[in-house]
This record gives sequence, C-alpha cells and structure tokens, in this order.
Amino acid sequence: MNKLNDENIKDIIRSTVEKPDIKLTSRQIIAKYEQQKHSIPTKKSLWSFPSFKMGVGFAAAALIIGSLVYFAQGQLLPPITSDSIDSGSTDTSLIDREMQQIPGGKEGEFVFMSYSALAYTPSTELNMTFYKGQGQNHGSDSNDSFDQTTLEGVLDQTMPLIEDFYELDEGFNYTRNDGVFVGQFGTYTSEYVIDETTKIIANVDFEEEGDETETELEGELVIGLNHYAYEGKTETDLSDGQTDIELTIHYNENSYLEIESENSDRKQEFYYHLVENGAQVFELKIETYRHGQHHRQMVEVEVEKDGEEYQFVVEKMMMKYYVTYGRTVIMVTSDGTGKFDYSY
Amino acid sequence: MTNEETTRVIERLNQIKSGDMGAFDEFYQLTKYPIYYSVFALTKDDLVTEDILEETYLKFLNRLDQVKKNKNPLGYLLIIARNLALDYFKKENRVTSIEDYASESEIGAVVIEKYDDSERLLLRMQSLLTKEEYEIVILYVLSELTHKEIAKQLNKPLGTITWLYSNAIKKLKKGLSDYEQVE
Repeated sequence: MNKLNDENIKDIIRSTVEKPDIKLTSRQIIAKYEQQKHSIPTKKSLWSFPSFKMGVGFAAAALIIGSLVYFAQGQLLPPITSDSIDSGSTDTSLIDREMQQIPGGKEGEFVFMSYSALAYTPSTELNMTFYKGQGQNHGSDSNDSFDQTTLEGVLDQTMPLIEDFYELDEGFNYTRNDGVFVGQFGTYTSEYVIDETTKIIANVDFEEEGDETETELEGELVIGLNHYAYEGKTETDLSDGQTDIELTIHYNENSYLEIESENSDRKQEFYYHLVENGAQVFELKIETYRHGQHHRQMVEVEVEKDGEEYQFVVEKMMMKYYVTYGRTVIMVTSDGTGKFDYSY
Repeated sequence: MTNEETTRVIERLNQIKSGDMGAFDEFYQLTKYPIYYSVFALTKDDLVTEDILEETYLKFLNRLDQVKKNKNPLGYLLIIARNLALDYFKKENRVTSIEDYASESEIGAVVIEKYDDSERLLLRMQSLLTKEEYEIVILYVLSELTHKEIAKQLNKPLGTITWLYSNAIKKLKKGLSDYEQVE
C-alpha cells in the first residue's frame, strides 16, 4: 500500500475501524438521570451482589457474627434493619452515622469484616480463592525485580477483600428469633436466620461501664450440616467514638481466622490473621481513607505471606482496580466470581 | 456530522429542554459516536469509555439549563467528556503512574494477535503518533469534527491543530505504507 495520500489515510481508518458496539442505551441514561433527579435513597439488597450470592452460605453466616456483636448493644450504636414479617422476630433498623469511612457506616464495616471471612473458609462448597492460595508461591517483594507470579498470588488472596470493601455499600436482611436453640457445641438464646441453609445461633452478653460498653458473643455458624464455633467482641468508648471489634472463626481445633478492626475519626484499619494448624500463614492489614479533593476512597494494604512483606495502594476507578506496587501500576479486572486478571 | 444531522440534533435538544425526554433517544444516537471516539482516543479502553459516555450525558442532562437553545451542543458534550476522561487519569500522589500507564498501554506489542483489524490499526496509529496527534486524528477522521471544532475542543489555536494534523498524516503515510503486508 504505497503512495498514500490524505484521503487514503482517512479511508483506511474509516473503513478499518469498526463502529463500536456501544451497549449503553438512551433508556439507561434516562433511567439513571431520573433516579439521580429524584434522588430517592433506595436500599440495595446485599443479595444483589453476584459474589455474595455465590458464597452465600458461610459469608452470610459470618456476616451476622459481626452484626450480632455490634448490634447487641441496642440503642447505643445503630442497629441493622430486618424486614422480616415473622411475628416472633425482632426488627432492628439502620441509622446512618456521621462517619462513614466504609460505605454503609458501621453496618458496612461489619459486613466487610464478616463477609471477607468467606475467602478463608475451608469448605469445598464455597469460594476457596483465598484459602487455596496459601503457600503456593515464594518470592521477593523487591519492586525492581519482583516475581510477577508471586505478586499475583498475593493479589489473588488480597483482591477478594478489596472487592468486598468496594462492593458492600448497602444493607442486608435477616430474621432474628429469640428462644432456646440447640447447637453442636451448646445451647443458645438467639437465632439469626439468613436463609434456608444458613443461620447463626448465639448467646450475647452486654456490659456497660461509664463511657465504655462491651459486648461479647459466642455461638455457632450453621451452614447446612456444618457447624463452626465463633466468638466476637466489641468495645466502644463513647467519649472518643472509638470502636474496636474482634471476631474469631474457628475452622477446626488448630485453624482459625481472626479479624480485628480499629475505627477512629479519620480512618479504619482491619487486620486479618489466618492460623492454620497452629501456625500463622497469612497476615493482612487494610487501611481505608479518603484522599484528594474528590475524596476518593483509597485502600492501603500490607500483606505478610511466607515471611515476605508486600505493600499496595488500591483505588477503584471505572470498574477497574488500580494497584500501585512501588513504581508499578497493575490494572486489575474482576470477573465478579472471585477471579482477577492483571495487566501491567 | 452533516448539516442535516446537526439540524436534527439542535431540534432534539430544543425538545429536551422543553421537557420532552422522548427526543433524547435520537439525540443520543446522533451524538454518541463522536463523543465515544473522543473519549476512546484518551482511554483506549471500551469499558471505561462507556462509563465516561454515560457520565457525560448525565452531566449534560443535569446542566440542561446551562445549554443554549438553537445551538449545536456537540462541542459542549465533547468538553464534558474530555474533562471526565482527564479526571479519570488525574495524577494524585500515590497513583501518579496511572496516567503514564494508561497513555503507554500499547499492549498490542505483546499480544497483538489477539486484536481484530480495527484494534490493530488503532494500536499501530498510537505507536506512530504522539498522544496529541492521535487524539486530533481520531477527532477529525472518526468523530468528524472540523479543525476549527477540534481547536475549540482542545483549547488550542487553529494553526496548531492543522499543523499537528498535517504532521500526523505524514507519519501515517509512512508508517502505514506496509500496513496490509505486515499485518
């Protein structure tokens, strides 16, 4: 193709570059416009998230652990809404808090913490992305010569948590019943039913002393025929608004997951410790904060795995995650089922 | 965009401004491609481009009272779209390299066989032209804007646009001379 002139060039471009198949329709735009115009806040069910549906069993159960610990404090902190019509149920309702570093406020924090436990649960019926990744890779965290496979192994284990954080921005529903409930490890006074196969049975102990309140929760997650022992604790200092939460989910005698959060005025920090057969195999710290004039939600992650440390900063923009690792930016695309693609 | 199309765009705009949202569909069909191409020239990513396209029209509708009747709103739409695209890559502290990453995402060099003719040509053009030249060529050839409209859109003198376009065409003449044979 020699002796090209201006018109040839234009013709080549116009004839070769196909008209894009734009999926966005005018109806979608109008619908969104109308929605924004009226700005009626609507609650989006957690069940509408594909990843949540997929891991509904353990995730939903774990979800309530945190909720139970937290909301057992009654009027002192905002409770969760239950839209159950069960006459024997206790309805609770969501009240927004001023500080909402995680979307959904305190509810979102618990959702995030509890839901994230899904990634660790050693049940073959559930999403095993995180758990399966343990100990697969070894490598250096040197950004100049990092091992891409190792790094992606770490990201495979980290991104589900990040994705949860960005997605879980709305409420969820469950039914609470009071009575006597017999579990595998004991008898409990409260039952939280998430769906036909998933529930939590627990005893809740609430204490108040001066400006500090403490709630302890002990019980079982019941997923089908499997029972997992769990315990949780919330400490709230009303004088400075600081809330600390701890959750522990026992998979077996020597394997458990601990999740802790510290919540202060400007930031939230989460810690994950996975202990497998008595040894800590994975530790992760996530700090979330708002950044820049547009108050973009940033997530800073520190991971220790197999004796190596990794640090990332993650931001979600236009459906993609951008992971900054040293001087490298990795574009991460989620397929919504717990799998991630990485572009460098 | 032909004169007839421009007239229709203005008519639909006037209807929308009068509250007739039924006119929006045709308005969208007539304007979406120039905007899409202009954003795609910057983002080089179809999913991101669609997101920005949606945001562009939402912003436009929310600012309808600022849009003049009987005037072609395409320039205004293009400016909104471009600003949104630039916001998308805005440098800030720890994410500074995102812009560089996006502008240099000539991933076709590695996995070019994955791309169809359309994408291959665009990638080839990106490798031959500067970012500015590429954007101008896309706006001129695919979005079908005039040099004058592009100058307004990019906030540059008309002479600069025509000079950059001319340079770009020279590079493309040379760079695409073996296009069919190589690909």
